[in-house]
This record gives sequence, structure tokens and C-alpha cells, in this order.
Amino acid sequence: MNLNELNIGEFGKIVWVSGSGPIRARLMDMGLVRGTIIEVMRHAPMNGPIEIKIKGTLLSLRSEEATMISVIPVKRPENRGFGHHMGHGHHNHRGPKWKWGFMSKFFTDDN
Amino acid sequence: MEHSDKKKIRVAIAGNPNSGKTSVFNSLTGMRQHVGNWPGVTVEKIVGKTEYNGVEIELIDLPGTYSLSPYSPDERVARDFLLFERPDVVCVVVDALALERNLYLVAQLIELDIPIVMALNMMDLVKSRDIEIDIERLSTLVGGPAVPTVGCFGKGISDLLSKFIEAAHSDYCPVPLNYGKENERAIVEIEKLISAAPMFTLKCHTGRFLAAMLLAGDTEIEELIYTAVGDDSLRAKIEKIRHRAESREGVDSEAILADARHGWASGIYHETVKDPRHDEPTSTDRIDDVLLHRVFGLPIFGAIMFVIFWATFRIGAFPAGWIEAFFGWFGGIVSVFLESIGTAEVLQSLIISGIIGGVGGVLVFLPNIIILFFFVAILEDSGYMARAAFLVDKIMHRMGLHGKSFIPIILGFGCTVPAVMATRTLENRQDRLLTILILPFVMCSARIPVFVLLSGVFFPSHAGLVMFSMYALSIIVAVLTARILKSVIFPGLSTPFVMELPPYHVPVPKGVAIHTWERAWSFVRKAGTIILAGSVLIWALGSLPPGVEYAGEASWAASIGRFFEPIVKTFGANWHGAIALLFGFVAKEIIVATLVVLVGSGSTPLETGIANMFTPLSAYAFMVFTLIYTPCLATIAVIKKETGSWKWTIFSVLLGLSMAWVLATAVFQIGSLL
Repeated sequence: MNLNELNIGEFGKIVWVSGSGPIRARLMDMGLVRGTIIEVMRHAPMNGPIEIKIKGTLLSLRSEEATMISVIPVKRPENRGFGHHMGHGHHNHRGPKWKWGFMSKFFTDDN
Repeated sequence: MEHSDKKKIRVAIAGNPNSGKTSVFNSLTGMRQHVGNWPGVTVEKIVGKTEYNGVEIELIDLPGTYSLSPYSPDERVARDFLLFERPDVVCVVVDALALERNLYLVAQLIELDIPIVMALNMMDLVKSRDIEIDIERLSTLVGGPAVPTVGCFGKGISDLLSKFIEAAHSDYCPVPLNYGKENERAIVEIEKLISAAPMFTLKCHTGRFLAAMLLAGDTEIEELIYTAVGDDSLRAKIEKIRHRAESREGVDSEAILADARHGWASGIYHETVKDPRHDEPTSTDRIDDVLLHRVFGLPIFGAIMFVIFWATFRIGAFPAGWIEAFFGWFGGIVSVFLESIGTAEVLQSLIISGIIGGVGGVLVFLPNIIILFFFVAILEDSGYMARAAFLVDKIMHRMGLHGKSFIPIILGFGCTVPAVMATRTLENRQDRLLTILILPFVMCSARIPVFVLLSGVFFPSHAGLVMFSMYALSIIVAVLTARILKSVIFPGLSTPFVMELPPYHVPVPKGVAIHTWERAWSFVRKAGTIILAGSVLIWALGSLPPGVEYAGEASWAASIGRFFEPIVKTFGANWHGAIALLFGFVAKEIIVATLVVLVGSGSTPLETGIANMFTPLSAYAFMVFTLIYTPCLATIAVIKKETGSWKWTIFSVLLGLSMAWVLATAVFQIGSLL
């Protein structure tokens, strides 16, 4: 499935960014690479661009770009033990930014 | 490291958009560059100087960039500087709140083989959010010192300066990223191939970086290298190497390189940052829940725009009245003085009506301009501008424009020149061109004096309505032109809309003030120079050849006006109108000055002179013409500069002229029939 098919508040993990040329390069430069977790934040009015959160930053994309991004839906990433956030209505669905960059395995985890 | 042999070093300031580069630069140099909170505030590199411990440091503030594969013209400026000018040190300003994303650029900068100093900016916000960053470990992992800074308050600046000097004298030896066996092999092979290229006899010797870019298929670097080498077999050889690497890895090299850099960034982030509240919605999320609401987002946006325009013209009217009164009073005093020393009447009319009246007529709009640019500065600095582009993208898209075209259009209501410059944030050349081509139709404030003067004479009780009709017409013409040009000249293409929505910040008063003043000052300068010169020129043309009756039928002004009269006759203007419009090319305010100098001189009051010149209908047609055609010489210059093409500049001027003529003529001819 592609990023457009995720609903607001859902999470997806990028499996592939298709397309070619500068657009694809830009998407990848902005952090849309394999393994990254995306949260769909909202849609602009009148089926305008979507707003997503990756690595703690907010990006907006048109649906044309969103179709280039193949994702698999994932559950809200597990809370990793830091101050658990309680209550607060639907905000509670916003999970931590889970980092999957494959190089990270080369670094030992302090914790 | 003690031997400071270099007495002069060059430091480039690079970083992601919104990382606070410009405020760090300002603190370093004491300069007052404009700081904003939407991507693309610095569109040109800016140079400043400072001194520290006897070393002269030249600082170059580069446009913000997400990576070294440029995507927009301003990013290209940054890439080219780093690659070909090779500064002694790169200071990469990193937003400590978005460290992981910011480190991606750092990963690329390391490959440039230039010593890196990291300015870890926005540390005040880091502390307030209970985030912990292990700065020492970060410095070790990146291979360059990290210095905590708070750019807008000038904290950490002297630390930064001493690190620059240290870094410039160090034997920098970065540890490059490893892209995996196959890709590494490919990079080494490509590096060998291109190291024979004449490029390397120039300044550039970052072979590994270029090789990696070629492996990733960066089209611009390819273009650069292949042109420089002039050997077509090189392209084929490199493609062969890439194919081999890709088929063995099973993934294209571009993706692997991007993955590796993000992985590096991610790894360092997790090693060095503890963010206990990172899963909580931020205050930015909460503000966006309201401001970007699916139903209320656009109405709120509309209300904000309404308030801005209301304040611009309502609140601005008070100081505008004072300025007008001042120039009236000043003109009176000067008039009495000139009378007492027996100055010729014609020269009096030049000084009183032309110069004082002309400059005064422009400065009256200074309060409006300041208020409009003040609000624009607040919108930019707070982070709302990017949201506005997000909200209106769909609407703009339907008009054939881009969400980001919205920002230049808003600026265009103040002055077209900064508006055209602001189009640099549009990545796609066609989007940029289209936006630049419609900006002259957006009613800049310089046209207002003409409308105020004419509607005051001909429609005194409906002046507000006439002004509103001008705004409405301006928007309609801009939108229709955009749609037509899009379908005729740039059909089919839909360009991507990938934009960061930066976190909200409370605007720093100093920043807003600088920003507002900079833009307003260029307006004042225009009043003081172009308008002044224009008034004098018109006056001279009206007084020459010597001995002629001032602005009479035998004057040069009349001859020029008569020449163009047939063209303007179709919408009911006479030769005075023709010459006013001709000089209006220089700046729209000169139209008023011209009318003042030509028909308002001597015994006839200006209002009578103008009332004799037009009918209400032809006055309205004249206003339509004024509204549509090219705003000023400065606009033409900036369009030439920004498009880099005389063809498009001339097209823009001809487009404005022909549309102005057609519409003004249509108004006049249809109106005459009614």
C-alpha cells in the first residue's frame, strides 16, 4: 500500500520509495528512506497535501508524492520506557519516533 | 595547533533551512540579516567579517539546504560554494531539536573533506524540553567539535569563533561513511576514472564525494563532470559500474547511499540524545490541530489575511494622514520661501508639485508598507507562512500555481520587487516562471497613489468601491493569466510539493523589526531616487526646447506624448496620459508626479487640470491600464535577474502592456456604448 492509504493518526513503515530523478532524491534527502516510520498527521482542506511526521519533523506532501512512498502499516510504536504519556484524548495515539536506520546497528546501545 | 600561521580564514555557514543559520551568522558578525521561520529566507550567500584573537575571519552565510543534491536555485548556491570555493572551515548549524534530520547534511559535509564545526543551535529550547545531548560524544562521533549555541541571543558565539580557528589549523581527517562492499568498490573505481578529469586541476578535489554523487546518479554532478571531461565514454563506464553495484546489491545505489547517511545520522542521534518526552505531542502539534483544522483551517487563514489587510489600510491611514499633512505644510513653507526670492513659476511648480509632492505622494504609503511587511514578518518568523502554503496549495494548484507561490503573491501587494525575489523558494523553474509572470498583475502599493488621485477627482463618493474594484480586477487578471499561461506554455506538468512545516516560534521583536525595516527601506530609497529623478526629467521635457511655454504644445513632452497618443486614444487618454504612462514604466508613482507637473502647474489647480483631461469613464480606463502594465523599472530588472533570460523579461513586459491595452480599451469602448 502507499502512504495515501494510511488514515490520519496511523503509522507506516517505509518499504520503498519509487519514481526517479530529483523528486525521489529529494524525498530521500528529507528522510523518507526505507525503514523510517511515518505518522500521518492530517490532510489539508479540499484534499490538499498531507502532513506527516518523520524523525520528529513535520513535512507536507501532495498525494502525487505520497503515492511514490510504499509503506506497510505498523502499530503505534512501543513506548520505549520514557515518561509514559497518559490521557489527552486522541493525542495519545501519537507515538514515539522509532528509528530504524539500518546503520544504527553498528553502534552499541548505551542503555 | 599553537602555530597560528593563517591570519585570515574563510568559514562557510551551512545548515538545514530553519536551523537558525542566519541568527548565528548575525551574532557572529554583528550584521543584521533578516531571519525568518520558513524555508528559503537566505536566497543568496551573504558575506560578513569579524576578528578573533588576531585572526581575520570571513563568514559566508549560505542558503539553507537539506542535502548537497540541490533541488532549488538557492540550494545550488550553497552546494556550488562548498564544492568549488572550498572554505577553510564549514560551520554547520544544526537544529538541536531536529538533530537526527539535521545530521543527514552533516554526513554529506564530512565527505567534502573540509574541517567541520557544529553549532548546536536552539539549546535553550532543548533545555526547556528536558532533552539531554551528550555533546562530547557527538563531537567524537561526527569528527568535529559541537558547540552549544542560542543564535538569537548570541550565546556560544565566542566558543564558536575559537573552534573555527582551531579547526582551520587542524589536520582534519574525517572517517568517511561506509556504503557497503560493492558500493565502496564502485566509488573507488569512479574516483579513479574522474581524477583524470580537468576538473581536478581546478579548485575541486573532493573525489570521493563526487564519485559517490555520480554513483547515486546525481544529474547535476553528472552534467558538470561530463561537460568538463568532454569524454562520452566516461558516462558509459560509470553507468556500467553503477549497474554492476546495483545488480549485486539488489537495490539502486541512490537509495543505499541515502539509507546509509540516514542510518549514520540515526545511530549518532540515538547514541547522544535522550528525549524523555519525545512521544508527547509538541506544542506545535497542538497549534496545528487548530490552525490546520480541516474545516476551520481555511476560515482562520482567511480571517488572518483579512485582519492584515484591514490593519494595513485602516491603521495605516492615520500616520498616512500625518505624513500628507506634513508634506502639505512643508510645501507651503517652501513655496513662500521661493516666492520671496523670486523663483520662476515653472521652477516653483517643479519643486513644490513635482519633487515635494511626488516624494510626499510616495512616502504617504510608507505606513501601509511598514504595517503589511510587519505582519508578513510575523507570519514568516512564527512559522505560519509554511502552513499558509500548505492550506492553500490545493486552491493555488487549481489556478496552475503552487502552494509556495502564495508567499510571493502576498508580498506582491506591498512591492513587486521583493516578491519576485521570494520566488526562489519554488524549486521548479516552470512554477517560478509562472509565478514571476503573474506577480506584476498583483496590485502593488505604488499604484495606489494613482487610484487615490483619480478616484478622488472623478468618484469622490465611491472612492472605496473603485479601490476595491481595482484589487478585485488585479486578482482576477492574475488568476486568469496563471491558468491560461499554465495551459498554453507549461502544460501537463505537476511539480512536487515537499515542504517542511517548521515548529512554531514566538517571533523575536528584533528580527521582525529588521525584516520589516529592510523591505520598507528599499521603498523609501525608491521614493528618494527614482521618483525624484523622474519628476525632474518630466519637468525638463516640459520646459524644453528653451523658451517654450511650459508643458505647452511645442514642448518635447508634448512631442513624445503625441507620438504615443494614437495608442492611448483607444481608451480615451490624451498626450498627457500617454507621457504619464510612458514614465510610469520607471515607477507607477511617477504617473502622479507627471500629472502634477504637467497639468497641475501654475494657475490651474491639479484637480481642475485632471478633471479637464479625463471623463470618469476614461479615468477608470486609465486606472485599469495603470493597474495591469509592468509596475516599474526595478521590477523589470529583478525579473531579468531572477529568470536570467531577456526572452522572459520582454515577454513579461509585452504581456503586461498588451493585457493592459486590451482591458483598458474594452472598458472604455464598452463603457462608451452604455
